[in-house]
Amino acid sequence: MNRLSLIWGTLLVLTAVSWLLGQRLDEAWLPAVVLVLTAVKGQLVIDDFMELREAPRLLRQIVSGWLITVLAVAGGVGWLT
Amino acid sequence: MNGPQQSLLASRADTEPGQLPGDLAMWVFIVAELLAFGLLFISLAFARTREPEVFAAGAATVHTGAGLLNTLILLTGSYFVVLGVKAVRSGAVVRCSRWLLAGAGTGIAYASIKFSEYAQLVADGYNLRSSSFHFFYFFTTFFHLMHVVLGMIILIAIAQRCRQGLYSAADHRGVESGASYWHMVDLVWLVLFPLIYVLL
Repeated sequence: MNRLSLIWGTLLVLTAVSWLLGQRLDEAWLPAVVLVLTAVKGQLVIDDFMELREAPRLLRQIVSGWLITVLAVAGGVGWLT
Repeated sequence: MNGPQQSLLASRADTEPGQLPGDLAMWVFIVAELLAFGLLFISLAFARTREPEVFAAGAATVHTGAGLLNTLILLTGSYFVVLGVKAVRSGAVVRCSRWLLAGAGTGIAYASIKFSEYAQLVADGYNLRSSSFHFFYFFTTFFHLMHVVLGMIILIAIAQRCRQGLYSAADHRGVESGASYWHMVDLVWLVLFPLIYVLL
């Protein structure tokens, strides 16, 4: 199995895990876990699908910065407080 | 120098650090799109803090399985498009166009599920005005759907150009630009998915 199909498989599994965790959100720590899993998935797409790992550093910082900021602010405001 | 050697050199040049995948103009457009979606997501989160019960009740009316399925479909579409970019780098333009069309096909599957989701909600009597949650749900997902449709048009146009021989192992910047746009649509959905379908 090559690297790309492994990443694709990982993204599918992490998505299914997030969804399953969402079925029992009564635990206070679960939203944080779901948001972290989302950040991991987003970074995989940024680095390996968009190929920004090899791109000019500033571009990767902007796109990754967007991902982390939106998840931190939306998650922090809406779910973690 | 013969063909295969040329394409080997071209694909090596592509993986050199510091190279932009696609055109700068496309990346400016992508970053602008990300900012628009980011503002929407953060607005949703703030609106939710004001009416947590309304959002919880609204979220309970949404089919979360459809959200899961569409996430898996978009990730698969992105994977197909990555395979298309790999193909054109090795000079396989016909294979590239097939993967790009397969990517556009996942967009059709996605849109069909989205419309059945809307149809179900409308049949149950919900619309943009039903609650703050439903406003954000319909507005955000429809705005995203429009981007999926644009992404599909871009992929189909690029697949067509691929078939016409307008891209090669040495020159495929257009393929990379279209692929980058499609991945942006996927990335935005990855963030939307927990906010609307998972964290109820």
